[in-house]
Parts: sequence; structure tokens; C-alpha cells
Amino acid sequence: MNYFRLLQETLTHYWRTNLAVLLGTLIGSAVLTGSLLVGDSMRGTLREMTLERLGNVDVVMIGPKFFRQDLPKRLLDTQRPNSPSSVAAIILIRGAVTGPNETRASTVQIIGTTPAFWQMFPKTGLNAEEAASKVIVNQSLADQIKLDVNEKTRARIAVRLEKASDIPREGLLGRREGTIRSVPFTVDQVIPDVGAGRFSLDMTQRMPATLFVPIEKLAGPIEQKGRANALLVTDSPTSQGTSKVVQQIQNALSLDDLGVELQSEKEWISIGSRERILSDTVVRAVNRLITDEHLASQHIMTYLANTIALGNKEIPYSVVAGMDYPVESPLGPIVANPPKHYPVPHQVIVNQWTADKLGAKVGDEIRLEYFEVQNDSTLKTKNESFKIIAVAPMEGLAIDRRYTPEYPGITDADTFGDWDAPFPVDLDRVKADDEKYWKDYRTAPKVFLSLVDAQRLWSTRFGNLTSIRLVGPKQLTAPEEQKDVISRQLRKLLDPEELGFAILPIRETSLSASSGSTDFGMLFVSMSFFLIVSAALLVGLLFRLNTERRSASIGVLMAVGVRPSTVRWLLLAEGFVLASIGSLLGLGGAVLYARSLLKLLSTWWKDAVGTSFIDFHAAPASFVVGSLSSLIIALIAVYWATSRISKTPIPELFNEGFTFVGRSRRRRWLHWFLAVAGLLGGIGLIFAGLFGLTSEMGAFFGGGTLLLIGDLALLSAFLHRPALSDPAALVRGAGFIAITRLGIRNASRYPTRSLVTATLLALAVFLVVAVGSMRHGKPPHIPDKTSGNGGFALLATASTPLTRDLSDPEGRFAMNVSDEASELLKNAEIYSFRVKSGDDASCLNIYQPRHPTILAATKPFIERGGFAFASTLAESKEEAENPWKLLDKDFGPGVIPAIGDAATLQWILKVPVGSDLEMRTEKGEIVRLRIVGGLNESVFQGQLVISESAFLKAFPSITGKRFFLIAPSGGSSDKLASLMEKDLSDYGVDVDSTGRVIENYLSVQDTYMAAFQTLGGLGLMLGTLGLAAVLLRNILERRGELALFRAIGFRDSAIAWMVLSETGTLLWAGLLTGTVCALIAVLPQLIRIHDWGVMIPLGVTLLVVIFLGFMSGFIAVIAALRSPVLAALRSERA
Amino acid sequence: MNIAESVIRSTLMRIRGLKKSYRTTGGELTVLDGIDLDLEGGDELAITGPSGSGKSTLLHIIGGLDTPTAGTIDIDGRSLAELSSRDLADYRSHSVGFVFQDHHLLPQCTVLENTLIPTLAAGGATRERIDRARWLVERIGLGHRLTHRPAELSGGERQRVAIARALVNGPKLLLCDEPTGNLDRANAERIGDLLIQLAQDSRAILIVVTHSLELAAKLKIRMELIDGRLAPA
Repeated sequence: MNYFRLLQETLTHYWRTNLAVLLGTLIGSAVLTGSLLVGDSMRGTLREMTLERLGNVDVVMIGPKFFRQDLPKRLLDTQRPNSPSSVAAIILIRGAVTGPNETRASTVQIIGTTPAFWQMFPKTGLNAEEAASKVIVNQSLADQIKLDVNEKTRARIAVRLEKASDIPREGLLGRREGTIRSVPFTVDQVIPDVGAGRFSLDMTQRMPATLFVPIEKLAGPIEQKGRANALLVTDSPTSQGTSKVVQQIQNALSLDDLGVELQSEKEWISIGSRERILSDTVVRAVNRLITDEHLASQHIMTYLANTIALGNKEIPYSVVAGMDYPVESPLGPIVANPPKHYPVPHQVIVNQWTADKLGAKVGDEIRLEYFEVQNDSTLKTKNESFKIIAVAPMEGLAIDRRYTPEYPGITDADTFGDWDAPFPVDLDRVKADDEKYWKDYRTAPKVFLSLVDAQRLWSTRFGNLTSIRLVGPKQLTAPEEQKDVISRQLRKLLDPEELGFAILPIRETSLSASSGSTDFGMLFVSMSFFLIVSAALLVGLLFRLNTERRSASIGVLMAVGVRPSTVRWLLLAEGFVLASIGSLLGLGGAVLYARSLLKLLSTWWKDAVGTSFIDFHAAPASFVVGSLSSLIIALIAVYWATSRISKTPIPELFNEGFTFVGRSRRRRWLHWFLAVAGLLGGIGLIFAGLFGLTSEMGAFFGGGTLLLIGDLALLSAFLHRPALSDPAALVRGAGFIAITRLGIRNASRYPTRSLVTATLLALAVFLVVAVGSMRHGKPPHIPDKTSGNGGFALLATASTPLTRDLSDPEGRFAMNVSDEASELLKNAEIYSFRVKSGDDASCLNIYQPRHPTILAATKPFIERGGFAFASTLAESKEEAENPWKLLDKDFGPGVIPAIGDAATLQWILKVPVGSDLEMRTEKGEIVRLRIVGGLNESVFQGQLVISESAFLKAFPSITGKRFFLIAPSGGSSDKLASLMEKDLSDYGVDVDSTGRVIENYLSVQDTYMAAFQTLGGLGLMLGTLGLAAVLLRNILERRGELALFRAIGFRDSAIAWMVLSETGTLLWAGLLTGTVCALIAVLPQLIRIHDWGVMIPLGVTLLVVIFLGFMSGFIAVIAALRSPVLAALRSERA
Repeated sequence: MNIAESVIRSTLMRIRGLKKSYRTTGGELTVLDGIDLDLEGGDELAITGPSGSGKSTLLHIIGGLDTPTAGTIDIDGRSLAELSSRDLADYRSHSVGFVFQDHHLLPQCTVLENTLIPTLAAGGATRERIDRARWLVERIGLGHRLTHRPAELSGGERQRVAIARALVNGPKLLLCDEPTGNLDRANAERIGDLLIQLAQDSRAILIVVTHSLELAAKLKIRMELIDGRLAPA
């Protein structure tokens, strides 16, 4: 005989009870490891999706400007070591597609393809050269527009594309109308959603709807022939990391790619921009070049004056120029004699032609009338007066038309009548001599003013110079040579990232984002937490019951001299063996558990996230971590179960019905203290919440939790209470009440067992009820200014920005909005937002968003206020009343206040109110978004809102509005929605009710709650199993006692009732305590429940638990009654 | 040397002023109230007395399973009160053999294994100890049932195994708590004889707590525990 043999014999002899312990461990291991496998599956699926949607693309460059299509050629320089293995320049834009049956897809990814693009997606299975000459749609788009294409039939589709204008749309010369072009295409092929069919740079699990068009067929309609806006790079296998590739791309970009134009003149170099306005970044670089190389320079800002007037005489539509005035040739002077004539603020030089036409002379004051572009893209006429200080003769630089950049449709027009201007032109004002000037001098400025004045009046967020003239280094004489040198030097000084060219190691970042917005492994471990704890408590309880049952054997071991510590080690070894086997067997269960959860999630999420996409994946580490963790948890439970062994007097171990008695019996004061403190603290906290002394939600949750602790302590005090002062009180009376009293008293026979059981039930019920009450259900669709919909019934989004105002009748007319829709929109409250597209940060996206979408709230929207805030940084009363005003608050340099949906902030972005999130501006600067408010259940899930002024500073090139909140003044929202979708289909406008949008978001949140509730429910049932085990054990130990009751004449019904009273005491103690405290804890939330239907599953769970609990009682009763009286009376342990 | 004669040195047990009381809801309950007792190897003492008189408590205290409220117990000049819990376990292992009213055999173990259980605490089942266990099982008349488990034995047989178990480590004290309480007259007679015989063989001090006057009559010394004190029966 040795300890090993004894252990072996014990394990096999008590196989039934050991099996129960083993099953408990198995459940714990299966749940814990299974939860980790859910995380593996989520990560694995997202990783696979990432790899598939990126094909062989490692690095991507997205330009705000279109670059030359020959960039790949320049990049694939074989002379250079570690050159990328392949590069594709493509056009990547969004548009709307209408199918043959007028079915429409509003947000379609349109790709202008080349053979190099198709080569990056070998999984597509197409010949690259062939595919690059075809119009192809992926299955998702085909499904959306109900397209049926086969070898014999081709289908025609209409694609609405936005012309990619180089000139900012919100500048004076930017085109805001006629920017959408409908282009017909014949679809040659539909490809499945694999390989290129799945290509997307967006980090989302949603399948993109994609149209592939040969690049030349797409470049023409968007007016970007020979250009592309996205560069896809496959890294060389020998490359030493993507940073090298990023550097190579940066170096390969030419000035032309960056939108900078160098014009070589005979005596100077003119630096301009394809945007016709030089950005601050370019100006900074040029100025540095001027300083470094000691170059002569002239900074020029030209503008169009609608009128130059003196008294009642006026000249229409004239170019005016502000500049600095070098006196040295070749950049000056404008007026040769005396050469030092140059205007300071409020002074101008006019040319002779202008002076003659106006009858003006030096000293006269002329008035300039001009358009100022407003933030909403409307034009406002303004004017300013200037004093004439000189008249320039019509010669030399005074008639230099090259001061003015080329504007297609204007500078190339032969007459005023041929102007194709994006602003209103009244041709009646144009006289013959004006036409003659145009013919002779074209865009030569008529008025020269100071640069300071020009920039004061006409600078925009896009820049404040139209060109800069430089005189190259004196040692170089050939203009082309000068241009080359300056071009190279300027290119070196320009950082493409500062110009908005984002070069991203997309594979690296996407794979990192594929870890998910949430660690689903840990999420499900948390959700299954109660199940795991229940399993652990069950293991502990069963092991303890086993130990108690074998107390005499343990006593014998100690009596014969085996040390208590050795006995405990023996028991722990027994527990270790059982837990090890259980944990290992649980791994099989883990796979089943994970698969079941994935199945459930896929079903629940299908509608919300667009696809049932989660495949099973398992990482070996999860099995190791899961099994080891569950083993440790089980061992802790066993350790607890055996903790009293060494402290128990050995003779007590031989007592019939032995049970370990903890210190609790001796520390009754502690129970009472906890009971009183918990109950008083809970009630106090709730009152503090009611009277606004602390946050209502926190007060109620804290209060409910304290009440739970107090109640359980009270129960403990009741179970551990001393004998009654009246020794006969227990058996006083007769009949139903007396038997019930006896049954209740029996519950305190084994206080620890009873308390553990009731606590298990109470905690499980508390969690399940609390979480169940947090489910939202369907939100009301009634617009309410103080709710999550902010009082707006409709939410519209556009794939192409609307540069005209929807609330302006002229804007609606310009955008071809029908009279019927215009009538409905006339009195509607409409707020439009600029959008900086980013990752969807709502709970509908499973990927970890890196750069959330940013919305710009206009001043009127901020002033309007509304919506429900969960928390804010409001300090003043005004801010508290309208927290949107915090968006205009100054938090110091580099800090932009932002507001987001509380759920997005908490769960996806993980930035609480008051903390900062980094954001990269268009110029590559890092600014901090200070979260100043969190909205409750709002339509802003997935985005962050900042003020429009801050937005325009951070993203000056973003024009137009793409997000709209609409509150129709009456009538049918549905009708307006369908009319808007139809009328604004060119812009890919989708309109949805805010109620539905919120409902969609909440349904995903509810999914998590439902999962938590389901798993909590399972934990609750496991807790009920614990109750059953305790009851059966109690009954088995008292077989003799119950037999005695029968022997002395108690009816079976009386015994049954006594047992049921005992069951009911524990069951109700647990259920009632948990339920009542949980309901108190979530009372503020409960009041806000939209749909009481969500409480049905909760009710069902509780009913099942009550049923199972009483079934346990009935089984115990049957066990008690089936035992033969005499045998039970004579029973002995064997 | 015969295995049964392995205990050669005479043991001396000396008890002075032994008291044991319990705190109950009804106040302090004194069970033992100044016990004095001297015994040496080979002595056979029967303690009788009414139920609840403290007989078993006295036995548990002597066996190191319980501690007295006051008083001392010296075994071979060494006070039990001075022993640590580890030393007490060693004392129980090497010096004491217990026989309870209920056999408390380990149901998962065979007759031989049950007999060998105490060796676990005394350094393990050496060949010598296994031989002694076999010899003891032979002596109790169950040599043919070595591999049987308790469930396959009668009440008397189980109790005989419990006696063999108590003697396997050659204890100085053989403490029996109502060893025949659960047995019929014939079996009780046989168990009583066996106990005396085996105790004499090993020159152990035999203390038997019993209600059975027949069994008490077989032992050399008989005392009665009344009101917490021992008096000659």
C-alpha cells in the first residue's frame, strides 16, 4: 500500500461522485477554452478576410490628387535594390450604379483597372490582360442591382461618377454643378466575391459592391486622362520591411504627381498648382528654397473682380492681382517710371486701359466688387475701395497675362460670351471694349493691389497664392536647366504626406486591425464568466460534499498518524487528477461550445453586420491557456473544499453526517455587520441618486449591489443563527405551518452548503436580470429632440458630396431635386455635415478602427443642440444645457473637441469622455481629439463629430456634404426618403429613418447582451444543479432521520412538504435576493426600456430555474420517500 | 525474534489531573474532571460508564486525537502537550492503534490494504510490514480473504480487520472505543478475545471503552467513569 495506490483506489471507488466533479471541470474547461476559441475564430476570420481582400497588396498610396499613370514604371526601377515586385496604378472612386431594371446600388467601389492590378489577385482566376480590358462586376454588386450576365448576354448599366476636378469645388472657380456624369457601361462578366471580387481598402467585414472598368474608360469620364489616384504595391520578397517601400514611393513621386506645376519662362520660373491655388505646404517649401538659394521671387494672388467702378462708370469681370512688387528686372517693375511705385494696403495701380475707361486718375478711389465664397459654398457679393497711386502704361509686366493661372472654360475662351464659368455671369454688362480688352490682353490684370490686401480679401482654406515667380540661380542660364534644378530642389523640400498623400503599409495595419475592435476571446470569457464561476463553485461544492461524505475515512487516515497536511495533499492530488482529466476532456467540449456560439452569433449578426462570416479557427495556445486556466480554477475550488481538513478535530470526522464548519459560525457579528452595512449603504446610495447627489445610474447599480451583499449577509446570519431561546419553538404547533418551519430550519442545518447554493443562485440571477434589463429592444421611431435621434426623422448619406445646400431652393434646383421633394424639403429642418471618411467605428464593424470617420457640425447645428448625452465635460450651465457648444470651446493648441456615441467611445474606440484620441490632419500633423461628450443611443454611432471650423482647418480639401439629418415639417417621411433617393441618385444618396438606424446599432449591442444573458442563464442552471446536489446530499445524509419521521407516523405528503420547504427556502432566497437587487440596480435603465418584449427571455430563464429548482426538490423528496424505513433506520456507512 | 514480540521495552503511561470541558449554549459542560491514571505495557484496562460520561473523549485525548482542557499525559516520560501537530501525527502513527465502534474501513481498499493503511504514515509498506500485516490478517482468521473489500465482509469480519489495522505498526497503546458495540454476542466474544490476545502478544497497553460487562470482565483492570472521574468498577 502506498499513497499512489490509495489515490488510484479512491478515484476508481468513488467514480460516481468523482465523475460529477470531473464533469464540472469539463464544463469549466469547455466554456473557458471555448470562449478563447471564439476569439481565435473572430481573429482568424478577420485575418483571412484581410488577406483575401488585399490579395498581394502590401502597401497602398491614396492620393488626394491624381498622379501620373506612369508612376509604377518609375517605381519599378530594376537598377534599385529591393524594388517592389509589382506596382499597379489604379483609379479608386465611389459612385452609384443603376442596373438594367432600374435597381440601384448607391455606394459602389469603382476601380479603373490595369493588368498589374489583376495580377495582384491570382485567386480571381482571370487572365490579367483580358480582365483589364473588360467591364466586370463582383457578385455583391450584381446581387444589389439584380444583374444577370452570362456568356451570351451582356447587361448595360449606368454609372454615376463625380468628375475629379483639380480645382477646389468650394473655391470661386470650383464647379459645384454638373459635376456628376452618367456613363453607360456594358458589363462583360460577373466574378464571385473572392480575390479581386473582395478587394477593398476599407477595414470592414462587409462585402464591397465593386465595378471594375479598364482604367482608360474611367479616366476620361472623370476628366483625369493618363492619371490614377491609388497605387497598389506588392513588396519584394527580399525587401527589408515596408518602410523601405514607403520611402521608395515617396522618392518616386514627381512634382507633377504632387500637383505642383513649374512653368519655365524665358527669365523666370513660375510655380503654380493644378488646383490653381498654392497650398500652404507648397508655399512653405518654395519660400525655403528662395531663402536657401537666395532667389529673387514674386508672390502672386489673382482674383476675379465682378466690377471695377469709379462713380457710375464700371468695368465688368476683370482680373485683379495682388503681389509683391520687386523693382529689379525681370520680375519688376510694373510701372517703370518711377520704378518704386508699388501699392501698400488700400492702394492700387490701374493699367492705362482701366484708367481710360473709368476716367480715373491718380488719387481717385475706385471700388472693387467681388464674390466671397461662404462655408456653405454660396457666393456673397462684397466690395472694397482703393486709392489709385499710379497708372501703368499698357506695356511690359503691366500687360502680363501669365500672372493669371489657366482656368479651363474661362482663360481659353475666345470671348466673354464663351465663358463657361462656375459663377453667375451677366453678359449684358459686357461691352465691346471689354471684349476687345479680352481679345488683346486676355487675363492681364487691370488692377494691381498689395499682396496683403489680396490675401486679406480672397484667401481661402485652400491657400492664398495663385503662383510664385522665381529667378533661377544666376550661373544657370538655360531656362530648362533652371527648371530642372529648381524642380529637383523643390521636390526634395516637399513631403508628400504633408500634401495629403497617405502611404500605408496596408497589409500590416489591416492585419493588426484584424485583431478586432474587441478582444472577442476575452469578451466571451467575460460573458461566460458566470458559467465558469458556476462550474468552479459546483466543482468545489461537489468535491466538498465528497470529502464530507468520506470524512470517516479521512479521520481514519489521520487517526493512524497520517498528517493532516498529507491527507490534504492526497485530496488535492485527487482533485488534480480529476481536474486534469476534466480540463483535457473539456477541450473537446470547447470546440463544440465555440462552434455553437459562432453559430448563434452568425445567426444573430447576419442582418446587422451584413454577413454570416465567422469561421471556426483554433490556436494551440488557446487550448493550453484554456485548459491550464480551468485546471487552476478547479484546483482553487478543490483547495477551498479541503481548506478545513487540517482545522477540523479528528473525532468530529467520525460523526454521522459530518460537515465542515467554517469560521462563519464563529463570526456571526461579521454577518450582521455586513447585513446592516450593505442594506443601509444600498438604501443610502439609492437616495443619493434620487436626490441628484451622485450619478443616478451609478447610484442605483452600486445601491443594488450593496443591497445584494446585505441580503446575502442577512441570509448567512439567519443560517448561522444560534438555537432559539425557546428550545421547543421549532416543534411548536402542528400541521402545515409547523412542517414548513421545520423545513426552513433544515436549510440552516448545513449553513455553508446552503449559503453557497443560495449565493450562487443570487449572483447568477443578479447578473442575468441586470444584463437582461439592459437590453434595449426596438427604440421608438418618434423624433424627439432629447432622444438619440435628436428630433430628426431621417438620416441621409451620399456617396458623392453635395456641394449645394439642400435647404436652399436654388441649391435643390441645381441638384435637380423634383418639385415634389423640394416642396417637402421646403419647411424641413436640414443639417448637413462634411465627412472625412474613415473606418466605421460602430459596433457593426468587427475590425479595430484606426481612424474613425469624422463629421463636421455646422454652427447652426451646434446652436440648435438636442440629443441625449450620457456624459459630458460641461462646466457652465450653458454647456450643460447644450453640450454641443463644447465643440467650440478652446482646449489649447493642437486639441480639437469631439463628441461621439457613448457606446462607440466605450466599446470600440475605448476612449472615455475627457480623454484624447490622436488624429492625423490632411497636412500630416497629429492633433488630439478631446472627447467632450458621449451621446446616448444616438445616430452618430461609428463617427466622431467636431466643429466645422476645426474640420476645415484639419481637412481643407474636403468639400461638400455627405451626411444629413432631416426633420420634415410634416407629411410622410417615407415619401420624402424615397423621393430624395430617386432625385439625388446621381450623388448616391441613401435615406433611412433614424429609428431604423439606431435600431440596427442597438440590435448588435442587444446581441452581446443576449449572449451574456444566455450564458448567464446557463450558469444559473448550473447553479441550480448545485442546488440539486446539495439537496440530494442533505436528504441522503438524513435518510435515517426522514425514516424516523415516517416511522413515527408522518405522512409522505408532510415529509415531501418539509423537503420542499427547505428547497424553496434556498431557491427563493437566491432568486428573490438576486432579482430584487438587480431590478433596483438597473431601475434607471429599466424606465428607459423601449420594448418590454426583451424581458420575455429573462422571464423564461427565471421560470426554467424555478422549475429546475423545484424538480431538484421533488427528486430529493422521491429519494427520501423511496428509502425503506427500516433499512434507512439501520443504515450505516459501507 | 518473533514479529509479535517486536515491542520489547515496557511502556509507561502517566495521566495527571486530566480535564476536558466544552462550551455549550447551556454553559460549560465538564466531561472529564481530574483523571489520574498510571499504566504500563501489558496492562489491560476496561473503562465503563454511562453514555455521555466522557469515555470516548478520554480515549481520543490519550490517542492524540483531541486535546485536554487541563492536565497532562506522559507516554514514556514525554508529555503529549509538548508535541507539535506533526509530532502528534507521528505519535499516532508509531505509538497508537485505534479500534472504533464503527470499523471505518476504507471501502475502496482490500482487507490487506486496509490493514496496511497505518504504514502510510510510518514510512510506507516495507516487506517486513506487509509480512506483519499478512500475519495479523491470518491471526484474525481472514487469511483467505486478503483481497476482499469491506463491502464483501460481515460486520464481525470488518471489525477484525480494524483490529489488525490498529496493530500493524506495533503500537504501544491499543485504544478501543466500543469495539464490540455493533456486533452480535458470538462475534463480540471472539473480538474481545482477539484484542486481548494480540495486545498481550505485543505487550501493548490495552484500553477498552465499552458498555459490555462481558468484555470488561475479560480485562485485568476495570474502571468506571462517573461524573468525570475514574473509579474502580
